[in-house]
Amino acid sequence: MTVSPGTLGAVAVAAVGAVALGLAAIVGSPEPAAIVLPTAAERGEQVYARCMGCHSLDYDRTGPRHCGLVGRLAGSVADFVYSEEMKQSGITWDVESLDRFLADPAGVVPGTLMTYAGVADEGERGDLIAFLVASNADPERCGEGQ
Amino acid sequence: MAAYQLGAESGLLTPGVRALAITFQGHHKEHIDALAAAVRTLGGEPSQAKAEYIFPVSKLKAERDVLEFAASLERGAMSAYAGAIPLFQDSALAAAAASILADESMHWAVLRGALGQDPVPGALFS
Repeated sequence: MTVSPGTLGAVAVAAVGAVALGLAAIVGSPEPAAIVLPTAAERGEQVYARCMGCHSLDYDRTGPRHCGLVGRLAGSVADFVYSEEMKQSGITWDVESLDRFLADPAGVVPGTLMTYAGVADEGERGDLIAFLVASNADPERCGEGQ
Repeated sequence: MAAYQLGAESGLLTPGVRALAITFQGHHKEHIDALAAAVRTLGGEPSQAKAEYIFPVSKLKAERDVLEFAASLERGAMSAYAGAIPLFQDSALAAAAASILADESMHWAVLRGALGQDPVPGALFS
């Protein structure tokens, strides 16, 4: 494209017009659009994507299902093969125990078959646990029999 | 392996996507062989595949469902390797796992592309 003074002028007019339209839109808008921030559970669903190579909410895969996790004794899903160490850990899964375990799975339960370094970031861990807790309470995700 | 078999046999995939599924399944077979060889080199015995795998078959009603399911597995596999490699003390095993991680990442990107999504939606994935 050849740039001439005329071309620049046309661009300038277009730019001024765009700004004017933008200002008009702002001035004419009765209410600013509300900004909706994702909840911890919504953020946690994104973190849970990391778990889905081995886990699912509603059925056993390489790892056990996560529906029913909250309040469950570690190593107790029927017919799932756990390490002896996990079965003997005595852990009941709740927010605190999940936070400890997910920070350092092999440190908290040496011998666990979950070969995963953990979720180091405290905020991400909190979001992940919020997602797990919310999913466990959601009949759409974790209904009866799951 | 089993998930791509399910997809390939679902009857839901168009020929191009079905060919992709079979290609990716071949990669996963190579991953199994590489990991089994690494475990044997370390003096271990590789675990066998499960007799049966459970998949959310009732939720797979269209090609897009299969692609989304496969993408979620590849995304998860990527993280599984990223989370496992720091625990490996043997550098040959870590190298094999890192190579597989690279494949899983490519699979995920291609599947996202097939879904019309940004193939690489960020950086520094874990």
